[in-house]
Amino acid sequence: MIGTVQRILRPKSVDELLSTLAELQGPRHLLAGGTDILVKAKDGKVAPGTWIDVWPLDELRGVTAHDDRIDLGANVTMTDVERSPLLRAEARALWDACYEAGAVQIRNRATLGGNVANASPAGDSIPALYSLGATVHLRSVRGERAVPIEALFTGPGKTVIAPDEAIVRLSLPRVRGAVGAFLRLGQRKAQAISKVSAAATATLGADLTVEAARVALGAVAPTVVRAPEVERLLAGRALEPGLMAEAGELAASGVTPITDVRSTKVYRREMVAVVVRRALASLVDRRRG
Amino acid sequence: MPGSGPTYPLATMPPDDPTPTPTHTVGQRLERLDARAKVLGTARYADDLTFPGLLHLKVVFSTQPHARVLAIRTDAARRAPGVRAVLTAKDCPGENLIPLVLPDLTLMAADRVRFVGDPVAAVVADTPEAAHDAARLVEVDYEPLPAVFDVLEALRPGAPVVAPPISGPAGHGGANTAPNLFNLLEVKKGDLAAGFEAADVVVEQEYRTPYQAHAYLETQGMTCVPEPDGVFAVYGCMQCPFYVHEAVARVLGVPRHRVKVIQVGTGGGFGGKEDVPSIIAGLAALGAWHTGRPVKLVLSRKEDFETMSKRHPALVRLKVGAKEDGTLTALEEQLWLDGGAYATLSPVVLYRAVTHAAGPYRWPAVHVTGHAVATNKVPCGAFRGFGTLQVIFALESILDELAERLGIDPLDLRLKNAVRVGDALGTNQALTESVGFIETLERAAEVSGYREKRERYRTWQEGPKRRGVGLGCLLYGVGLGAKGKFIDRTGAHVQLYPDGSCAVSIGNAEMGQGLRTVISQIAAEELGLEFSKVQTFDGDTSRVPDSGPTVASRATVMAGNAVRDACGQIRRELRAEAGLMLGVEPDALEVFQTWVRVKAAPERRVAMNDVIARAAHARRALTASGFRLPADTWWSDDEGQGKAYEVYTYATNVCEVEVDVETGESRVIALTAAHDIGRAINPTLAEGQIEGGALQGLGFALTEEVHIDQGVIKNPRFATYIIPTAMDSPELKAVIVEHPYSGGPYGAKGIGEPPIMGIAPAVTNAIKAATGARLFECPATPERVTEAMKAQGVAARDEVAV
Repeated sequence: MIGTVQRILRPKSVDELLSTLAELQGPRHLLAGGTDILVKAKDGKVAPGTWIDVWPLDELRGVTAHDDRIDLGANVTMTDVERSPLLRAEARALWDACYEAGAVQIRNRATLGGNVANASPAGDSIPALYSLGATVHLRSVRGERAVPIEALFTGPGKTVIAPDEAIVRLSLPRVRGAVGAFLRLGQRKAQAISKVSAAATATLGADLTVEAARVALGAVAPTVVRAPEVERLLAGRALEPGLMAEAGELAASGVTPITDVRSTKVYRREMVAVVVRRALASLVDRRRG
Repeated sequence: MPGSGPTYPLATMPPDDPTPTPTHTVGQRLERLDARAKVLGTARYADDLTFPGLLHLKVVFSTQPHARVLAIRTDAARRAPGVRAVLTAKDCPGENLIPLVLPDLTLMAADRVRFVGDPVAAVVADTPEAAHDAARLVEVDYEPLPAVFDVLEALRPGAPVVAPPISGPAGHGGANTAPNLFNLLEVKKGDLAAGFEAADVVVEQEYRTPYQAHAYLETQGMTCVPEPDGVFAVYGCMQCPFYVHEAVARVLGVPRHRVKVIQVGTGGGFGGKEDVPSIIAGLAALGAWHTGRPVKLVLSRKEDFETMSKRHPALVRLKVGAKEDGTLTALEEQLWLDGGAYATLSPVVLYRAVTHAAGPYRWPAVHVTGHAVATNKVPCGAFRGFGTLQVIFALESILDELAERLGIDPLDLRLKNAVRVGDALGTNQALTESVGFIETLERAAEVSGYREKRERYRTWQEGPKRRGVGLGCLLYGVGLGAKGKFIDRTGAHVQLYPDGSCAVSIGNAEMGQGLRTVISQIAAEELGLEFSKVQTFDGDTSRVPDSGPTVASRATVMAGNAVRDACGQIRRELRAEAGLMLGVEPDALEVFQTWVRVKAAPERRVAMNDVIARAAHARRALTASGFRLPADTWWSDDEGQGKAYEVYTYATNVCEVEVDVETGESRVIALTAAHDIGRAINPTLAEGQIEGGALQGLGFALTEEVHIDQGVIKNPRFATYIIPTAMDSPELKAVIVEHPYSGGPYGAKGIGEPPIMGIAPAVTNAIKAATGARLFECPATPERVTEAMKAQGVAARDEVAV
């Protein structure tokens, strides 16, 4: 930690934040809840530079329902998500992910903007946001742009966010009757980083026919990934056990995970099949109520 | 002089006096002395202490697993802002050596580094930041040497020599006579060939156990303060103030009376603060010597993980035989402990491992061969259990395999072969008293519902979930035993004040286990005081006798006995005074709760408070020093036999586990642990030890793993070194069994270490029962469980219906 914080700025508004970002020279790090960056900084993995504390910016808080979408401020915490009946009803995969993540103290501080910007392939909210078709809104003094979440990441810890940009909000399309689920495997029951995760969001007909589905996988590739082949397999077919198992196997065959201190390549690949199948089974349970 | 004293009003027993108990504080569930301070956050730890003019020390550690040190360039660091000194091995005014079993551990590496984490230089500066920045400017030129990371490779001819042969002081636990071999010990009993000849079933298997990090909440930390009279005062967290005392005196080259060590706080030790605090204190003292100012060194969590001692990883090859009816006939074991780069405590860890290898069972024939081996990795030392978890994992696993082959329930196999009074252990030590093993088996089985669940879980399933119950048993030799007897003594200082309150000082350390509370209870009992009237203080080497280390589950027994010795001296004075008050001979009196009364006429009594006030006024000696030696033990290296320890604690763990056979995840539902601890001085604290140890054992069993690649620890932080959280804690049921030990205070034996020792095999035996898959290595991560199921051809029973 020592040495990485050369100075700390605390802008009073988003506008001030953006002008600060535009003017700053050299490395800059946005500090929201700090649950990731403080750990990295302690390990000496954050370049010495200017830290900008965005946590106090209330402009970036709030969950807002519009007719066609739900907007989530970048500073919305995992606890905020967990406490939102709207998100539990309409963005269940995200709700599951936030409910499962870390522990109370972590969830009180961890923000969606931070989780996304940290760009970890194991970040729990990210597969859920993929499955929900989230859009990430980036703003700078140059203006605002909307990036589909799948286009945001270029590698572990790497995004297309420019040095003068900040995530201001995420938006989720509202899809009537969609059901969702997020499942993860960790090294223990709480306070564990996922070693493999899967999120699925789908609209299912009365006979459980898949009208539309998005499936995303965490911790099995340099970034969170969609499983388009699984989505194609499911399209138009009824979610029955054989299909779900097939979907799991197909998902597993499409990933090339790595071995690290948290798990092994072999285990991760095998577990993709399990978590995908179980996530789909959970959609069925939830569709049936 | 009955009748010669002044008349004194006799207290009479009030009508509502509660039923007297034999003891008024011992055996009671009293609140621990430090509970409030710890809960409220007011307890002080090493890093909370500050002193005027305090400087901060940062260590430069080796980045090489094995290399010659060609040059250490410190000029740039010396010129950095705020830097007061940059020190290397040549700056030690005394010896560059930490005194342990073998004289091989340097304070700072001089010409050769042996592991990634060997200290090579120390920077002392005005602030922690300045020290940190300057430490990065120290440049070390290394010439890499071939390194060895595997125990079997290290013993092959021509292997890189990590540890050349060296011998220690006679009687100090061994000498390494061959390169890379810190110690070689054997246990031999009976005729092994005949034992296997007599067996109907023989099982042979290989097991491995991993590193474990202590994960104490407080990292290592020391401050050394040079005092005006030339004394170096050392404050910090530690288990063994007298180890630190000797180390600092030798590093500074001063007589021991110019050093005093005060143990403070200590947020957890678990063995991890036995030997290595001497390094931390030695470095702080060196800084203080060169700057003339107080110097503090507190390790970061990462530094602590990377450089401080760990539990020895082990390789165990075990072969056992039994007759058809389950009677055990022979045990043969070969054991290798990975000691890392320096001997530290490995020679004596090996001693405990080999003497515990045969467990609490009757074996006609035993042959155990143990090796403590040097590798270019972090040194392994003391860790709760001290070499026993490794051999217990192997033994308790193989007994279940044997039971399966014999078609006998694992509980019945253990009951059939369990030791009782009159039996001899694998070391041929005869057990003469306090052997409650069978009762722990019976009680643990009963409380856990072992037999009923064993039956029910045979067919139980819920989706992908299966359940199983498993056993893990053990014995534990209390105290340092024959190989540690040369430092095994203890002292105490007890001071009674005229107002009836009492100060107790002991030479052993409170590190969260509750020692000060237990000692206060014993002193209160001995002197007839209310518990609240006794304060036990943190140790200060200038005021209490050298009491040896606070390890080996010895403190309650050893310090407790020393306190009893001191209190006995004071009690004689009090009885004499009370004799005057009651007009009877002192021998006719006894201390009963907070009274002194006439044995033959218990209604004739005086309040202890009044006795103390009068005794103080009469200038009686109400201060005493106590001193105790343990019961004698012996060991013959040649015979491989001996009375290895004075007495043993026994335990049985029953673990109930639920395994998801698709993911390999194991959830421990309940854990029942029955321990024969002789006598619980404070049952609540004893249960706390049992529960805490069990949880730490679950970490060893299921999640904790140090990943080392070419000597570099890859997960030196709590985000990746996975200890159990509250969410991972099962229902823990602690059962106390009491078979009193005549040599322990009030019959007590040790309880500090046994709770962790038998957890891992109880877990893996339960996993075997649940899944059909046997784990030959822990931790039983989901990766290993699924792999074992595949390798052993155990299918996930029944495809899951969704």
